[in-house]
Amino acid sequence: MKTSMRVRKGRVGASMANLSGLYLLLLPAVVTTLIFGYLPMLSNYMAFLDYNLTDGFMGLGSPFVGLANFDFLKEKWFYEIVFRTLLYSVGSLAVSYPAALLLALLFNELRHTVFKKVVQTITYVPHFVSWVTVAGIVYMFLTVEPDGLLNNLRGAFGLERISFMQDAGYFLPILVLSGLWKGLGWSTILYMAALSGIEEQLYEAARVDGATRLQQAIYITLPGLVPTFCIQLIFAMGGLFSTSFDQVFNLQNEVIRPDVMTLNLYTYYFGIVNQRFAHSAAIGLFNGVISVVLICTTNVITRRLSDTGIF
Amino acid sequence: MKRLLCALLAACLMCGLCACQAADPVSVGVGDQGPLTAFDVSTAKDLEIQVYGVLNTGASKDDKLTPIWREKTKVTPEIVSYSGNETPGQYFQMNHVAGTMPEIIAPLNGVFDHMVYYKQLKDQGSLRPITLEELETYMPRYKQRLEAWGFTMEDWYNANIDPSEGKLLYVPGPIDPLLTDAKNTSWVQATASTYNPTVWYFRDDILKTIFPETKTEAELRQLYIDNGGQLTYEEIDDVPVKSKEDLYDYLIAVQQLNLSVGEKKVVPGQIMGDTQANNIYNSCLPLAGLSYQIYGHRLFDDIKGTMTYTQATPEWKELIQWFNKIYNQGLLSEEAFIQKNEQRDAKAINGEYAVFCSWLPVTSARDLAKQENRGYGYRYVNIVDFPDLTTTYQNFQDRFLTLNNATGAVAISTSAKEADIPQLLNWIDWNYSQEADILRFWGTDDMYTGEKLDRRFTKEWEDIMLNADPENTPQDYGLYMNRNDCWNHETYGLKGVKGNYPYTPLNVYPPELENPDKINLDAVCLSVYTGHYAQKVKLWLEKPLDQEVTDLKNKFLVLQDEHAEIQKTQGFYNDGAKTATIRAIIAKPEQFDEIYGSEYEAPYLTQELLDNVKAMGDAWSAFRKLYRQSYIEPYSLN
Repeated sequence: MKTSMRVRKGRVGASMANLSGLYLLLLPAVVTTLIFGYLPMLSNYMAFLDYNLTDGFMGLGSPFVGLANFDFLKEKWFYEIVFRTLLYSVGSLAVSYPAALLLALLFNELRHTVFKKVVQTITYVPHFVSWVTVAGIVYMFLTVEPDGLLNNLRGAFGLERISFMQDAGYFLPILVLSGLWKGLGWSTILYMAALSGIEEQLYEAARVDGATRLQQAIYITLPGLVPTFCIQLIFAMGGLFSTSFDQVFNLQNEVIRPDVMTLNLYTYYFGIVNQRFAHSAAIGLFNGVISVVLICTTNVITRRLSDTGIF
Repeated sequence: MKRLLCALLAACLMCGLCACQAADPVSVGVGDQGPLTAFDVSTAKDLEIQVYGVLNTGASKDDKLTPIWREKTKVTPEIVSYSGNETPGQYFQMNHVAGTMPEIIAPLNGVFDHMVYYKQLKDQGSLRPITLEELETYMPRYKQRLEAWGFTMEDWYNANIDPSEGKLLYVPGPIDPLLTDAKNTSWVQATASTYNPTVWYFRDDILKTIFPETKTEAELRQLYIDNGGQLTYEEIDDVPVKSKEDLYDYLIAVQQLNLSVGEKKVVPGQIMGDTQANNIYNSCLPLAGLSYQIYGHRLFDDIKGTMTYTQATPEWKELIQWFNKIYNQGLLSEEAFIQKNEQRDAKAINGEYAVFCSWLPVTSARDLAKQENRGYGYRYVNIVDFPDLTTTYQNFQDRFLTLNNATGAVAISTSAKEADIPQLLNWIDWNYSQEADILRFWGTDDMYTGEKLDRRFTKEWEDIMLNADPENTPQDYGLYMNRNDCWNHETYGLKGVKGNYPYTPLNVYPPELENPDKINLDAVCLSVYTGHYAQKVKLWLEKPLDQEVTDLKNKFLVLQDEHAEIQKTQGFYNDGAKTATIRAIIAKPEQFDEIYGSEYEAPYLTQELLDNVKAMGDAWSAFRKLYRQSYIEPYSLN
């Protein structure tokens, strides 16, 4: 047994030595991840302190208060915020996931190469527009003022003008639609990559067997996309508790803020703006723990169902 | 492999920690450096520094001043400030942690006169104490200036020591103009006013339609010329809108006129400056029948011995409810509390507001109206009058003249190298000097002749400096000619100091009597208003404070520090409280009380906050009682 272990270690060592150049190339990524991904985790310690920036080095001399900063777990408002965060995340996912998949399938069916590339490029462009700009465009589109396009359209049909941005009831649709506009094209990239990996012979065989285009899509293309879909889903689960901060922050306003408050927004306004760092660190830690649990659970489920997972 | 990975991990963590570690504050050996020697700029090295400020910057095509500033100081400042979404507090905190605090902290206001931010800077240890000996040695120009006004550097130092620290933590702001040799000039006497009116702009064609007896802007300009360059309070006080109730009636009257600009309907009012609730405090407080006072949102009455939290008064609630009423009746834009500032400004410029807050771009609105011959102008109107300079909670009849001034103060941060302190103080001293003042306003000595009241530009420069030619402005030469703007941060890095020089071109030149368009009518009206209130003010000179009264003041300041801490989670300035206020305004009128009560009063107007204000008020009263009894004497300007 010992000999076998030694032999295996020796092989690993030899293999690493042979690939040392590649490991060297990997090093910057590892170091960057450690510094920017893992090192900041140390700041979670702040969640257990009555944190004051001026107490000791970087505030680490602040008194230890145990779980006192986690009092929010007893509060009703916190669960309202959690529920809203989940609602916004799930709502966005429920629309954007199938939409991206559908669009990728449609792209895949396009035969005119130039047209396909033009359409793809056009759908990718919004990804590069900042949320500040998108929020400005959305506001101009939805405002109740005489310049508001949607309200002018409603006016043309004799409908009442509505201040969409001041009504929290419209926030989820605005969130979903603006997210779709901005991210739909970009989200198809992974699917397009996966589609290019599906072997052409499978389609040829199906055609020989008389399969229609729809049947090819259902029986070849969709199963070929399952691994990508699962991995996307696992990543999305990790972000379930953190709606896109940029998006929500830029689309909300003072009038509807309490009604559209998400965990990220709460952490920003009550933690950063009001300088209650320990409080926001505690919420962040809670958020992180739940996200890890969700990722692991999804990973287990997808591995069992489709033999696909990230670890 | 495992060892390798462990070593790598440990190394990364160490590197990260080192990278994150804030630079150690300079170990300040204040007072142990032995006898100081005067700063000699000829032997100094060029010094590049960062200055926290809130100044505009711009390029001049032929900058006449910056080379002089460099020669006198060998300092090149870079102005830095917080970004749009930050507060000064966040900026200071992040820079403290990162070890990147600017060497100089020179806000015009809002930091050293803001209890929360000042306390934060003290707690962080960001302020490098300045000794009397350093002031005496490295600020000879200002020392000379103070002596010419009858004060010593020691007087100035003692008046500004932080009582809780026993040290001077910043170079104080400029002293009160009423304590300088210009106290007998009419424009300096106008600064004696304890009430600086809050004004609104009224589109004058609409005003005339509703109140035919009022003057238009053009009529007022002509009257100024006809009067030989002056206006009286009675002449400008012709608009019968004297309270928020009158303003409401006026807005309703405007609404009934159903006016349009092109296809866009005229909105009766944009009464507040922007969408934020705290802006209602900043731009509309007099509509609540209250006046701005030092110590921000707390109202105090020395005579009655009371201190009140503004946002806990029924008057404040009534003001918010008044906003709720005008909002729901369509007297404000439907999206007035979410619109972008650019959208608001575009409406103001296009004449779409009948009444708007003085913060909005009236100059552009006037220019457009003139360019397009729209036949209207804008009247500058002080709506609320405080005839006896008191309110239910305030008494501001008395003005106490003191060398103490945190507004416009300039601090040296602990990021500065100890060896650079003399050069930094010399830079501050140069900026505080009379020579620098004259250069800012009048340029180099070949550009003018005469002294003080008799000083005039030479013919060549008069055309540039006094004629409003947008192609050839004073700013093009790095000079400062506008009361409300500043230009080159190299020369105006310390914006507050300009207050010590009264003989500016605007003040000493005779009034414009030929071209009505050249009259700065708003400045004339403001001067008439402040002069009107200044006549009602009683002036007192503060005598040196001794330990007894300083101890009482310290008790108040300790409670004020507690107040700053409480405000992090409670009180009006909490983000949630501001949001709640806006939500109460846009709620249906019948829901106002419920929303105001449940979303603002219950969570933010807490007993802890009110108890603290009460205790502060008691401490303040004790201090002020003794102060008034023994530490002031009547002061006369003549």
